[in-house]
Amino acid sequence: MQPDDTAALQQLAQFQQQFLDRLYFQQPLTALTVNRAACGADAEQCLETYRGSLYGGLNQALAEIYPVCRQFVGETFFSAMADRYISRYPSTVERLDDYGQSFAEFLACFEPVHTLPQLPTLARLEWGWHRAFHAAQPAPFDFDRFADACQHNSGGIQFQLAPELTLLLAEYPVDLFWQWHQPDGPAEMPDLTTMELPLLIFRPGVQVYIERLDKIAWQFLQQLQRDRSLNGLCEVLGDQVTPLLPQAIERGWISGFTVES
Amino acid sequence: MTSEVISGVGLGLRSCHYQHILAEQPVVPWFEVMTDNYMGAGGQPHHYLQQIAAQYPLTFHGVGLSLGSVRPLSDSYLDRLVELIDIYQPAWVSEHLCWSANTQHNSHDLLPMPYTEAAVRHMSERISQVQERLGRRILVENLSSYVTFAESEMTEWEYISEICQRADCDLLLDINNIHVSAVNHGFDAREYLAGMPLARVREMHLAGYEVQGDLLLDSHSQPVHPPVWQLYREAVALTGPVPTLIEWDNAIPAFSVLEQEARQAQQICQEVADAA
Repeated sequence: MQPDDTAALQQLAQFQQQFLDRLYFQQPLTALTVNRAACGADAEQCLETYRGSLYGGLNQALAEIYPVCRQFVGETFFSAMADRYISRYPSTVERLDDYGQSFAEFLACFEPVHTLPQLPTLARLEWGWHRAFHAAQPAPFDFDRFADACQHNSGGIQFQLAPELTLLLAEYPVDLFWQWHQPDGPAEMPDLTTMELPLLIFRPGVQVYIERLDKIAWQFLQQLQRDRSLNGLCEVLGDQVTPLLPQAIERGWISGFTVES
Repeated sequence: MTSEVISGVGLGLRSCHYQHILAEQPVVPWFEVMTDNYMGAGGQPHHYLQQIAAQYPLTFHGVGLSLGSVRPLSDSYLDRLVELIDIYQPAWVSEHLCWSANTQHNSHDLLPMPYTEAAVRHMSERISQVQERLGRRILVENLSSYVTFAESEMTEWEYISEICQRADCDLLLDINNIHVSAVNHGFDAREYLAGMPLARVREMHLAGYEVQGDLLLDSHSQPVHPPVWQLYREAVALTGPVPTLIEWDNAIPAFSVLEQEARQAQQICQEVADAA
């Protein structure tokens, strides 16, 4: 690369840095000079069009990931709230599908919604749903190979949970609230009184499921998130593994396993 | 379906039409798939796309490669693109002549480049890298734009021609984008067409724009406007019949509206052919 090439690339890099800083944070753009458009729009108007497009695109992405939160607070309020989020958390991700993970944390600290304490939990539920929606489709569980592994090398069995499975210890019955907002949901608004509620979000086939877990199933899946081994599971849960394991495989919570020697 | 032969007027595949397409099996010569909507590992998008791919030829159209960025091309993005190509066997792959991300942030939008020799060199090198990685030529699409830069050293059509020649890539000519940029920046759309490497055009795009203040906005939310239909007629007269796509991304109407737009494009192609 020639010195001229390096300098030109540096200028291009500086332009790209400043241009996105202008769009996200309204910082000055000095690396290049924006012309007044022939149609009459001045440089500020032209740049604002890009800013509007960027914020509009990310706002739309958040609205698609968090549709129930949006219905909860109303479209206008959600849009304004999303704009605040975007300016505070500009996208650093490669794929638009991955944008918005910290929305629940943002909501927890966003003073205008402190009167809606259910909102961050609802956002966590919707993020889990979104991740499960795009998760890989696991291969069918291989029961024959599993039986063989149990017989010959049970100590080496490491389970795989369903891709993008989420465990959510909710402080409110946000699962009922989510269902209430679905097109075929119940007619009556659920009671959103505080209660501790272990929820599971996963996708065994085409549909995403949100399930309530009992205490032992919650412990079972939490243990598997910490330590995937059959041995670890048995050490922590003892005899309770016997009924839970087939249930977890049948329901698709566990999608597969590996055997480590 | 291996889609070697693409002709006629195709439609952009949108998720709200999945069930209609599978239930009614409309006569559509091909669908263009927004590649970035299928970068995820699985789920309903792939569930439906697999069924549609079994019945219709596909092309891939991307917005996320960020060809003009100074930061390195993303290996993970390209790896996934290769996987998707292997799975769905699109007739071709297209991307935009733009940048989207710098080293810190991503806009997920189609941002403009200055038309400089350095930008030509950078963009053409990056396209070559992508073509080498994919093992195929790609189509690059002209943008609609809302800014021009005083530092630009050439016209947009000179910029694109030079890139296509150096990278030896094909061209996706977006007729609506030409019109939008021509109005916004005051150039002659016919001069633009005449200056483009038309022998490289393998596909055209048609879409609708919105008026936003003094500017035309490439919103893909309207029917194709009359001046764009006219420019399309003139472009087809210059290139001969080229596969054409109706793009509609916002306020997406019923499938029948897209079919009507496609019929109108097909009719223009026929009229141009009859007049030749």
